[in-house]
Amino acid sequence: MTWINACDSADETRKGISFSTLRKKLKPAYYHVWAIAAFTVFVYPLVWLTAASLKQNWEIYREPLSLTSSAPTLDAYIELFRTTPFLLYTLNSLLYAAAGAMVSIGFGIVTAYGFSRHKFSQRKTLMIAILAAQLMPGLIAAIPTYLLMREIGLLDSRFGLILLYGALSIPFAVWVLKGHFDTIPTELDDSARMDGASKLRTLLQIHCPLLLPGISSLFLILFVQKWSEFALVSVLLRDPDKYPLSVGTYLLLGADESDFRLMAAASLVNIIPILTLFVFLQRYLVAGLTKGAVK
Amino acid sequence: MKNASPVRGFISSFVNGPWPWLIPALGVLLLFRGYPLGNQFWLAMTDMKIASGDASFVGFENFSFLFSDPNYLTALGFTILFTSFSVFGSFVLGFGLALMLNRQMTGRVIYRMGILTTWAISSLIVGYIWRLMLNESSAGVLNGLLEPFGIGPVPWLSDPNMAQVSVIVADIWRSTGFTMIFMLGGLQTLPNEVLEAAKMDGAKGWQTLLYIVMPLLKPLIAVALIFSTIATFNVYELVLALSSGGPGNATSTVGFEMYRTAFGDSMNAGLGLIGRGAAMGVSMFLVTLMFALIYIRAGVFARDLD
Repeated sequence: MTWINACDSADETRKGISFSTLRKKLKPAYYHVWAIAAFTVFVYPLVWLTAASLKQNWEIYREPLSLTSSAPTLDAYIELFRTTPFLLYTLNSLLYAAAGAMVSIGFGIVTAYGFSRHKFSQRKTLMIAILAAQLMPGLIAAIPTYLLMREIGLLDSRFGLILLYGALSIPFAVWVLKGHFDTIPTELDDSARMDGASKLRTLLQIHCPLLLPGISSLFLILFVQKWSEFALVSVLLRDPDKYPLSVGTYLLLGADESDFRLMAAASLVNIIPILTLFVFLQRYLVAGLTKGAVK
Repeated sequence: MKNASPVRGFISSFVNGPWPWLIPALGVLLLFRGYPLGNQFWLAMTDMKIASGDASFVGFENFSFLFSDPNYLTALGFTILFTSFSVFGSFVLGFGLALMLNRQMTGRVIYRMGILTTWAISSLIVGYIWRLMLNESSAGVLNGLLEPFGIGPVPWLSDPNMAQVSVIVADIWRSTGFTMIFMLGGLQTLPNEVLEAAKMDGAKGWQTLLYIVMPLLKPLIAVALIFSTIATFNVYELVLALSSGGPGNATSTVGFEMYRTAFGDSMNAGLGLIGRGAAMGVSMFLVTLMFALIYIRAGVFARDLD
């Protein structure tokens, strides 16, 4: 490659820069223009939202485009956490997202072990049935799920919600973890058995440490999913003390259309924790995501 | 003595087999996924109301009602329109960006990360962000941006047709980053030699794309399109936050209509027609099932079955 490039540049110095080389030189700049345009389209709204949350309403109405403020203030956030139960909502969201993800992962590990380490005749059919379950969004069955939770007395229950969140993501967890299990050589199982370890002990002490990277990225993806969930939780909980951020935000923003800075601040409280996770752990998130989705 | 009796033999082979590992999860799935999805078909054939819970069998009455109900038909029509444009738009944009950001260029990691950001934001909040940006008072940023060009003010959310465009644009904004990362993953698996050989044979960029890259990525493209079709068809939160289905019911979708019918416009108060809502749920289920079956038939995941 370098040799070819060297020839090119030797030619250039001889003949001067031809039109086509000029175009080739400009091409990278051309791509950057497009890339920057796309970057702006996707990031500018968030920058603008942040700016709006730090302004006063009159300032937003007078200069909506400005990304700076003459007197930036955290008033909107202070108001949000003082006058509404946003802190409680945030803690609820953390609990539901983390616990729900753990439930899925717990069931997922045990089930994926079964699928990965046993060959049996119904295996393919079962794996495909689980895949089909994974492809069905929770929204489709919102009504019968609501009735089920009512019948078994888990309506308006934190425990019930966590169990449901966990259950709905078992298929995804099984598929992702089965992929990871398959990369662990069965020789490890054999030598553990020789040493007298039970299957459960092999799973806990040998497989789990090896699966840890996969489990972590799975946890992140499930956490983000559960944190964002709204459709089901909005009908399953009644007690305002149990609301997660998504429902709290819906109640707050549904009521008032004109308080721009408060709407901006409330939206940001919803996305800041996720974006923070995302910026620092992007690599793991994307790795886990593509793994789960492609397979 | 092992396997002394057939019963003990059966028990020991059961305990050593796969089922102890599978039964807990399968039981939970059957209760929380299987039962609701099946029960919905029964509910759709009853006149159940949310408050009483009493139900009597009415056959296909709910379904025949839906197919003469202008609200449902409008919602179905818009859902199909919305899904087509949004899936197509986000695929073209996402794939285009993936192709561009797959080449060696400075700062491509930053570009990728910025574009992927929107994937981390929930549909509900995407709806609120766009409701703020599209606001038609002087605080609306998009009309402010267009003003110097002599455009507008555009009635983004108060005109039925514009509102439909707005919901579609917001959804494309939300989903493009995911398509991009997904397709980037695929592009990176392409063998370099093939692309180099095409270049040697004098293939132009678009020829390589059309005759080499796209055919090689066909399974992945199918997966991306099916996944985003399923997600987009079952939209609810975005519409709720951005337009509340309005103006009128111009941006109402099947999911939105189902919630309005069964649970009411705002939480805890409303029509409470479980039976009719369940019929809408069944219709969403059938459409989703169709795409799920296409996905399963395509068998992209098959290597993981062994």
